[in-house]
Amino acid sequence: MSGLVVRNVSKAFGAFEALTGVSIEISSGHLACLLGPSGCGKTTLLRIVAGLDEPSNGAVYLDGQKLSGVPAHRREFGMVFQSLALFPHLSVAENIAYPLAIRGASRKTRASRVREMLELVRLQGLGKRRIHQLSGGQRQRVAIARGLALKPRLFLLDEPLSALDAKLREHMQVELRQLQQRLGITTILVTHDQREAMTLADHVIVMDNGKALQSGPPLEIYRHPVNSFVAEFIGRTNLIPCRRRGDRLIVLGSEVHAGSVADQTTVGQQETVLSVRPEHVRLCAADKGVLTGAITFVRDLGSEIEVSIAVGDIEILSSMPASSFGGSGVGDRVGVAIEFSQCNLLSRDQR
Amino acid sequence: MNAAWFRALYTGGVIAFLAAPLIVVAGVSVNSQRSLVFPPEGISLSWYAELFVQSDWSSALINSLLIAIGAGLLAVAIALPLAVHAWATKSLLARALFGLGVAPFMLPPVISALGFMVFWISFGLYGNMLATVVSHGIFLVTLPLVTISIGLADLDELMIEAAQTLGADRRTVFRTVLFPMIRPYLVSGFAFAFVLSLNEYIIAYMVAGFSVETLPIKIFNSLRYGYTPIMAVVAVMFAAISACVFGLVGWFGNLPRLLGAERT
Amino acid sequence: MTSAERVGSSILTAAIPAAMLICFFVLPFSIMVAVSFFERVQGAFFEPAFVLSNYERFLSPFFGSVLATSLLLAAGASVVSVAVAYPFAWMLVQFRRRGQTLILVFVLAVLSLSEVIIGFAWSSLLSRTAGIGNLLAFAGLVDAPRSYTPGLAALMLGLCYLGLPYAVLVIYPALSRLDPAIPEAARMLGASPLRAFLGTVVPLSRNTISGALILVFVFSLGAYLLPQLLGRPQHWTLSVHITDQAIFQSNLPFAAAMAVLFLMISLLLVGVSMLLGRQRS
Repeated sequence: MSGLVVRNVSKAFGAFEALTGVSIEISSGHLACLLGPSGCGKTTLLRIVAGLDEPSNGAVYLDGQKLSGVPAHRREFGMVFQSLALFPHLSVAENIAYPLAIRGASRKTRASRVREMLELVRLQGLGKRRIHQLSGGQRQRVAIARGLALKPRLFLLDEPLSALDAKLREHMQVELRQLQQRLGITTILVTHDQREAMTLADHVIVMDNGKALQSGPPLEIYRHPVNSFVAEFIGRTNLIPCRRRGDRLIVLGSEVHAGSVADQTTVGQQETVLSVRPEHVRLCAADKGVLTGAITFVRDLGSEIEVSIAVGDIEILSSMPASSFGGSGVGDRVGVAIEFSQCNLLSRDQR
Repeated sequence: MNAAWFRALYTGGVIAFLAAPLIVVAGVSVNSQRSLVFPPEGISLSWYAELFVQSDWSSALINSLLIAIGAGLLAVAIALPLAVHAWATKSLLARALFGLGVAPFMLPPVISALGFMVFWISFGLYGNMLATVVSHGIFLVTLPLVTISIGLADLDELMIEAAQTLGADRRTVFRTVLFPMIRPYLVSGFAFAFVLSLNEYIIAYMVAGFSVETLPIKIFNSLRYGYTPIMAVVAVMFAAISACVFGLVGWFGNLPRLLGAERT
Repeated sequence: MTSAERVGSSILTAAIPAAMLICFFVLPFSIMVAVSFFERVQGAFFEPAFVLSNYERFLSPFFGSVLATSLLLAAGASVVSVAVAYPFAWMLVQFRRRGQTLILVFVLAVLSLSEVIIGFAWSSLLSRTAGIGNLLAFAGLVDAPRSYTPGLAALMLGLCYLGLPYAVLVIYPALSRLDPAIPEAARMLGASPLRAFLGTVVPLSRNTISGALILVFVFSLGAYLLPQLLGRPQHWTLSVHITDQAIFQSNLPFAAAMAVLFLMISLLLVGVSMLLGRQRS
C-alpha cells in the first residue's frame, strides 16, 4: 500500500522489551499520533521509523519499499525532537538550510528555500537571529521548518509541543495541523497528551507496555475503546465493575437489561467492567436513578460542572453544562442516571 | 558584626593576601633605579623596554612563547580524539586512556620531569627544544582533555541525531555539529595549557634547561647573580597574560562550569 | 550503538593519541623505574645494571630527615590552605555569576603563576627594602626594617600562597553543587548563619575537605623552587633533592629511585582522594 507500514516490529534493550510485535499502517498524507504513557515504547517506535535505531525483529516499509539497513541520514525524513535539538552555533536561516548545505546546494537555492520556509512558519525576517534570541514558540517553528526544508517523504515529531505552556501549545497544535494538511505530508507525531492527539490526528495508535493496543480514527477510539486502559487513557471514564446474569447486568446491586448497553466486546464473560463517560452520567431525584449516592465534591469550571458521587464504595464522576446543574451541594443524596446506550462493556484486567 | 560584612571582610582579606606580592612586584617593576625598593622611587617604564632589548631576555621570551604555543597545540591535538572517543564509546579501554591522560598532571611535576629527562637522554633529544614542547604537551594534556570532556558532556546527543535525520553522515556530523559546538572548550583547553606551559619551570629545566632558556628559567638563573627589575617586569607580564587569557575564557565561556561547578 | 558512538567510535581516532601517551608518558616512566636500578657512572649518565643500592640509601638518617621535612611542610601548607580556602569557596559560591567569574579569573591567574615568580615576589615582599619590613617600620612597630627571608616562616607563607588557589579550585565545584536550600532550611528552623554553615554545609562536604587536604598535600609536595628561594638548605624537600641529584650530582639512578618512591606515595594519596570523591557522588 502507499504510506507507512510497520510490520511486527520488536525491540529489546538487553532484557528489557521496549516493543513487542507492533504492526501499524498509516495512509499516505495522513497524520497519525502514537499515544501512550511515558515508557510505553512510542518514542522507540518513532526512532525505529526514523532509522536512528534498528528493530530487533520485523521491518518498516514506506510506499512498499523496505527501509531496513537504510541509515537515518539516507532516509530523507524530517524529524522534530522533543528538545528540538536546534544547532545553537548556527543562525535561524543556517539551521533551516542545514540539510541543503550539507548536500552542497548553491547559496541561491538555499536562500530561496529558507525564505519559503520562514514564510511557511510565519517567521519572515528572523533568519539572521540566533537560536537563543527566540521565544519557545518561535524555536518550535524553526525546528518544524528545518524538518520540512528538504520536502521529506515522512515527517516525524517526538512530543514537539511538550515544552510549551498550555495556551501556546493549543495554538501550535492547530497551526501544525493546518500546515500538515496544506502540505499533505505523511506525518507521525508522538504524544502522551490525548487532547493533542484528538486535535491533530487522522489516526490514533494507543500504545502501552510496548504494544499497540488499538488504532483507528480518534473519535472511534473514544467511542469504542477495546479495553479499560484505552477507555481511561482517551478521555476520562468511570469504570464500574459489574456482573452478567443471563440477559441482565448487575451494576452495584442494581439490575439493568444487558441489551441496552451498546458496545459489548465482552459478550459471554461473567465478570466485566462498564465504562461510562462522565457526560453520560446524569443527576436526578434520589428515587429516580438506577443508582443512588451522596455528593462528595462539586467542581464548578464555569462553563461546565463536575460532580463526584459516592455510590457504595466507588466514586462516580458526572459532568454537565452549567445550565443543567440543579444546584445540589456536598452531602446531598441524589439519584444517578446512566445512558447505557452510550456505554461500553469491557473485560476486566486487560493490563 | 553581620554576615554580609563578615563575608566582604573575609573574601577581601584572602584576595588581598593573593594580590599583595603582585602589587609589590608591580611597584618594583616601575622603579627608575636598578634597586629592589618599594614603594618605587621614581616611576619609569624603561625596564619594560629592556625586556625586549636585552637579547638574552628577549630570546628567553621567544623560547617561552614558542614552547607554550607548540605544547598547547600538541595537548589539544592529543586530547580531542581521546576525549571524543571516550565520550562516544564509554568503554573500559577509553576510560583507561582517559585516566592516563589525566595522570601526569595529578602527580608532583618533578616525577614527570625526571621521567622525561631520562627518556630524552635515552633517545638523544636531551637539551632540544622539541623535547620541551613534547614534554609540556604531554604533561598538560589533562587540561584540554577535561575541558573538551565537559563540552561533550553538555552536548545534547539529540543534536547529533537531528543532524543525521537531516542527512548528515558521520564525517559531516563531526564537521558541522560536533566540532563547532566543542570549539569553545577546545580553545579554553588550549588557553589553560598555554598559560601553564608559559609558567612551567621544572620540566623545562630538567629536559633542556641548560640550552633552551625559558623565562622562568632565566629568572631563576638571574636570581643567583642578584636582582634586576626585568624579573619584576616578567612577573607582572605573566600575571597580566594569565589574567587576560582566563578573563577571555570567562568572558566568552562559562568559567564556573569549566571548573566543575554545576551548570548555570 | 548510540548515535554518539556512530560518530566517534572508530578505533583509529583513539589510536594516535593512545600511541602518543604510551610513547611519551608510559615509556618515560618505565625507563625511569629501570634507571632506578642502574649504576651511576662518573662522566656519563648511567649504565644498565640491576642494583638495589639506590634504594638502600633511603635508610640513611639524612634521607629520613629530608622525607620528614617534605611531609611536614606539605602537611602544614595543606592544612592552612584548606582551612582558609574552605570558607572562601563557600562565600564565593554565594556571589552572582559575574562576581564568581571575576574572582575565579583572579584565582586562576595566581594559580598559574610560575613558582619562580611566586618565590621572587615573596622574597621581595619579605625583603628589607621593598615589603612588610618597610611597612612595619613606617607604622612605627619596629625600629628598623629587617628581612624576613629566608626562613621557615617565609617558606610556609610561600607554600600556603601556592596551595591556597589550588585548594579553592578543588573545593569550589563541590560546594557549588550543594543545594543552597539546605542551610536556608536550617536557618528557618532557628540556626544562626554560622551554626547553619557548621551544622549542614561542613558535614555534607566532609569528603570534599579530606579530598582537598590530600590533593593540596600532594601539590605542595611538588614545590621545588620555593624551598630554595624562601627556605634554608635544611628545608630542602624531596623535590629539590631529586633535581639536585639528577642535575648537579649527576646521579640519575639515585634521583630515579627517589622519584619512584615519591611516585608511589603520590599515587597512593591521589587514589585515596579519588575514592573519597566517588563516595561523595
